[in-house]
Amino acid sequence: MSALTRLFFDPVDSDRQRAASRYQFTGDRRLWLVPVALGAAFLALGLALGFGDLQRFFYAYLVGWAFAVSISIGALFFVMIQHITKARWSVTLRRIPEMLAANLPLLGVLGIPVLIGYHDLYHWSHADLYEPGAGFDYILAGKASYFFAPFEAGAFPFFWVARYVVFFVLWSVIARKLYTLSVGNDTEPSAENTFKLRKVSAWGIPVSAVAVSFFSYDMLMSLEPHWFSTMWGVYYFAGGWLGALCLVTFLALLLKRNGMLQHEVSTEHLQDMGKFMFAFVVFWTYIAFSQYMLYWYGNLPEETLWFHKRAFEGYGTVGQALVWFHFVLPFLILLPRFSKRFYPILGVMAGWLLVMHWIDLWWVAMPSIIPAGDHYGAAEAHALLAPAMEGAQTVLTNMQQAPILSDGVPEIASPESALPEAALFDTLKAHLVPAKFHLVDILCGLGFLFLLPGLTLLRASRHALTPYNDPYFDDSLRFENV
Amino acid sequence: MLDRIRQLLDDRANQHVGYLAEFENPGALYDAVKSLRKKGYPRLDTFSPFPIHGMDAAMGLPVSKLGFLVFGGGAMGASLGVLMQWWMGGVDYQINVSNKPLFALEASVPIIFELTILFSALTAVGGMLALNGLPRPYNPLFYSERFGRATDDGFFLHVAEADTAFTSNGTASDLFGLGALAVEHITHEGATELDSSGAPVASATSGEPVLAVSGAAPVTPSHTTGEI
Repeated sequence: MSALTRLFFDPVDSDRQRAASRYQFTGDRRLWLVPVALGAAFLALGLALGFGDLQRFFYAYLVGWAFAVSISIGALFFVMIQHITKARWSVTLRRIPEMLAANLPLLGVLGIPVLIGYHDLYHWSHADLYEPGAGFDYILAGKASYFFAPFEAGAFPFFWVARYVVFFVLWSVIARKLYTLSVGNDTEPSAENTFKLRKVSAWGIPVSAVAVSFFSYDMLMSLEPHWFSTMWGVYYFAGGWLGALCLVTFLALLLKRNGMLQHEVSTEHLQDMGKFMFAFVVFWTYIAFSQYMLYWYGNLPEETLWFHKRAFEGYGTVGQALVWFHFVLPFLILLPRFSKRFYPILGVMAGWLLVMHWIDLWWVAMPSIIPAGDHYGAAEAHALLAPAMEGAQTVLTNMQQAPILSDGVPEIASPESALPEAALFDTLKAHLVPAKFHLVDILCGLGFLFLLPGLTLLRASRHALTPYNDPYFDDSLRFENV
Repeated sequence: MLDRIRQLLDDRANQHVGYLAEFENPGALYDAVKSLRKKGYPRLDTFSPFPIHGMDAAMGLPVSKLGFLVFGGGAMGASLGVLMQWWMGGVDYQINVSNKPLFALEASVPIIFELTILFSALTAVGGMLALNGLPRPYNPLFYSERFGRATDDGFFLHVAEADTAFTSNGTASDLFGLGALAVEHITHEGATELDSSGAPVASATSGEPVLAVSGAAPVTPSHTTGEI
């Protein structure tokens, strides 16, 4: 096996000869080719169809890729947290997230199109923003070194690319260690491995946490470079963790359906995965709403801009759909004990929430597309914000004159009359591409949705499906919800 | 209606009149419950210092009603939160805060959320107490001296006298047959130790409440003296 396949596909040689056969993949060993081929075909088709509008293709690719990365990182965290808490219940299904996280080195390579298309994706990459003149953007000039250091603003974004490389190297090292130690323990069991796994997790969790925050700032938040949110890293992480839980559940159900892991992964384990899914549906909502509420309360033009863009031209409908289909309905469906122990419902919910996570990221990224030729600079940005500033000024003046406590609804300070909202919204809309799920978006999303489990199956068909020599394996088999 | 309520209260008061058997460990208790259920005893109760996996299923307990109560409580809290926010901010005492709408869902969500949690939690605790019939300051089981160890290292099985399969000697021999260490007859008058034929053991025929006759100096439990 060559060093490259070892690095990107499976760091451990196949141990089918030596590993216990009852824990092995019993399906066709080339089955992984089907989803991988489908995924690659979808991506290729996306590129072919998106060739006329490369910017759209890059956005679509970014969404699909960020979706896959977030799920792999979620799986990485899942494994580390099981080790660091010495969790026993999850041992029998731990191999699935281990194999998912092992996708990270390859995903680092699959992100190269994003690096290539950075000029189409990221507004901050335009050199004219940093040149004195009409296009000069003093806000971005202040942030320039975060992207371009040590080069001058507008040149090659060295620091940005360097961070990308560092993050993927770190994740790959951690994922590889967790994977090789655990798989190696199948054939050469030793308590030493468990201690090593805990050690890796101990430093891996804080390092990955910092990395995932800055990764999400670099890749998704900087699509809207004027905007900022300290909650952003957690938002991305929450979605990714939920996606990882869903994909792990889905794969476990798939393997069970095909006669594998029959006794190892029981209804009890899957009910716990269902509980986890339920909890992280709520956690995602909690984070998303906390972010929204603070900006709603602050109501500062430069902060609300991000939400304004995501409230018009159809994006508002998608945002509201997220509230219903990423929170309310999954919350109610996953609430009863019954639905978490009934495989068809659990499987449907896992698939549903995976799709919702993709739509969530689509809703985050797509409104940032600036139509071709619409390179607005500071002058336009000022024109954009001016009505809002003016409105705020009017409101302030009105409020100084109005009594704070009134008998009825205050008349002069009513928001409808004071804020020239219509004018602001018209200016905003002029810079928005109307929301539409393009075929290219869907193809890129499907591409990664198939690649991820396909590459995981590749590893699954070469090793045991469960870490059966883990010291806690028997405890996990006996696990029961009281 | 009144008769039914009286019947319900009577049933609850006499719930633990019957035979109390002690078993050596959780496994023996679990097996005993399974065998007794197979023999057709529907009204069993078990006591152990910790939850025993699978015991709910072995006893044939239905799904707890508590979850549904809590959901109702939470929904009530949420509705109350919306109503309160709308009434206080939007109707009764209007204050213009930085020209925000007088009532807005965005600003109200934290309040709605907190009230949902509060009402759910209160319903969970209150509902748990109510469904368990707690607090219950008097229970005939307290006559049994052994029973105090149910919170320490004792595993007990109780068969109610109201059980359809209960017979005074048959049940006793059933329990001993399943490995009971001791069987006591619990009534509102006291606890009497029985032998396998269901007859009182000679030394304990007084029928007096055990708590009332224990005039001896209190024995220090072994686990508090470090002797175990």
